[in-house]
Amino acid sequence: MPNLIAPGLILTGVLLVLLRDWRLTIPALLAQYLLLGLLISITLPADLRLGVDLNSSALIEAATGLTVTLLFYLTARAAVRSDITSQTYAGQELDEFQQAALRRQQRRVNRDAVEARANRRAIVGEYLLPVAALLICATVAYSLSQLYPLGQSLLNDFSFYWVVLCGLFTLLLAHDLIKISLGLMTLLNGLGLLLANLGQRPGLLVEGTQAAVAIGLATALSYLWLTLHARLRSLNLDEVLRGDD
Amino acid sequence: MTIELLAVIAAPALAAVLAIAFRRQPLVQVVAAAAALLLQLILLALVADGQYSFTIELVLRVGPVERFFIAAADIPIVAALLYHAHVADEGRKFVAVAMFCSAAVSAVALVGDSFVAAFALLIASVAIAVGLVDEPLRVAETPAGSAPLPPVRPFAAALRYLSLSVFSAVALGFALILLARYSSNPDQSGLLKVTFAFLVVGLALRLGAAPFHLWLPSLLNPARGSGLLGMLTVGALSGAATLFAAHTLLDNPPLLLQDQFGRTAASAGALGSAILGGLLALGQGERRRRCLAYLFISDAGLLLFGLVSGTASGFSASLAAALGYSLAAPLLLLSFNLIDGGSLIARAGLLLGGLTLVGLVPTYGFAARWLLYTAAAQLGLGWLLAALTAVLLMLAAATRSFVPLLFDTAQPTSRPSDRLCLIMIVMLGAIIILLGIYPAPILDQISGWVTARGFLP
Repeated sequence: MPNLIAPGLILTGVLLVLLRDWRLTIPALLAQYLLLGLLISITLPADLRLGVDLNSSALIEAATGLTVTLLFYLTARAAVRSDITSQTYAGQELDEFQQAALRRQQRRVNRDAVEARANRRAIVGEYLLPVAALLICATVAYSLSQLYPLGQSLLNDFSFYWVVLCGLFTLLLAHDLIKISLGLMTLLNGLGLLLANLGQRPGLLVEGTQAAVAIGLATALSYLWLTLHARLRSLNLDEVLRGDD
Repeated sequence: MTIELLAVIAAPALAAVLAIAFRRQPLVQVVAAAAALLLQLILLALVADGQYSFTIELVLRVGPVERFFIAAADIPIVAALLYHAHVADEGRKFVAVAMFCSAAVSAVALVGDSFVAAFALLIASVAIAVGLVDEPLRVAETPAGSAPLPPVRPFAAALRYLSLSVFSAVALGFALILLARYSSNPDQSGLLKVTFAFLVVGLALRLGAAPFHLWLPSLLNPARGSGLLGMLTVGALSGAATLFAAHTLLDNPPLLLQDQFGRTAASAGALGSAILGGLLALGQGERRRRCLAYLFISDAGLLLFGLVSGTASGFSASLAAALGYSLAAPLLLLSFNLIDGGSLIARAGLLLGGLTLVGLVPTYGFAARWLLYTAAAQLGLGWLLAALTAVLLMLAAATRSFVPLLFDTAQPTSRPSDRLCLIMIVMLGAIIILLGIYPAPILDQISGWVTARGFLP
């Protein structure tokens, strides 16, 4: 089992960079959290005796992962089902001019999406760039694990650098708000991975704060998804960044 | 005493939760916020200096500098709340956002664990990002004849700020983890260099020093209305970030003492960043809010230089300048928001705020800047010339952008709701001049706090 953790973490990184469908990427993030919990339970001594020996840090990591991914999953499902009405924005009623403006903006987003799907080169580009990014990740992660070894195992060092780089590339290549959110959560997971690889235990206060921050960040990101989707019926970043200085 | 100190952090956090629960009742929000800030200040005055342990892990510390920073952070927070209540509605969650900022600043100042402090800064940033997209819908103006479109800029600004805040927290987290590793085995000089690099990058992101500044112009953008969230970020959180850096660097002397090359490289980078910020500010011309943002970006480079210069004067200069932000940021932004009415007080506020930011007499900014010049001169003539170049560029940019506003001949058209803000401008201006004439009470406390650690030249 311990030998499967690092390859598992590497695989979750691949899925997060490569795929766009939230039904696959959100479970990949959950798997990353659970694997991180497993790694912590192996590297740090157990401190809880509840019938079986357990590690509180690993439990906190797993509980945080479950909460974060559940929040993301429910929000993404609500957005896709369009449970959020575009008649309101941030709790305020819109007049008919504002609603017309919203509809126009939504039509433009839909038109752009259809055009993008029709463009075959765009589909090739959809996977070409992430695959190139993964190759860069692999090269850089391998070099860093050789130059700056952190823990006892080369594979664990590689998986730490790999996960952090995948988080960065997920952010850089993101086309929608969901991918941005997954990239940010992956970057935060880098902190837990570094601690686990170094065999350090920062204490319950720090672990609790880190978990609270991760859940708070996930809640805020979910709120951004819903607010944006209520206005544009899309989570596409191109529309958000269009015209921004 | 530990409970009282915990209440200093918990009171504004509780007020934030109440503000969310009662988001449709502004009176309850304002009363809860005022009560929390008052309670915070009273408790802070009552607790004696020292370290207090709540549990083995939770150690709280309080001294004059921590008190200064918490009280100073309340100035932009109160100014933003008053402006929000009387002049411009910034959304139902604005009071909660302001209170989360206050709680975060208190946590950074009081909690001994740097990890928790770094996360507290991230929590405040998350609240500000939510506040950005929660503002009331302001329909963007489009050319005549076409229908107005709701702006999407707040989303871009929120995403940019949130992403860079997470980068900053992760960089600071890596630095603190590696620092703990180094402390357990001090033979690894390479590890210390990597730790220092992560710390400097995390701080540069947090303070908005160039080239990590992308989030700051968006926060002060006129498309975002009155820029109150920018006021909170620059006025309150930049000070907290500076105090976090001071705590971390002073608690771990090897970071500054044993990495001479890293310190020199970081100092050069910080001054380069200040000069770059000044040049970018100079290029803004009529785009005055962006010019203001770039002036803050340039000043962030100088703040960073003071922290990494490895001198006691540099440290004191950065802490003193960060305290000055609490006065300059609300003064400048309130003056900007009211200057279109042609108010003479708003013009005077803009002038004083600009002088403070650039660091000229007779304002408090000069006192802080003088310490920075001393630190640069201590390092060598080249460093002093670079610091002076950055300040001169800031002065040129401020003169180019703001002086035409001072001589604008528009007739004053003050609204009744503006009067409170004008009173605030007068009060802030008076404090800036008073502290400029007699800065000793603050500077002595700061210098004493820094030199008490005894390892900085």
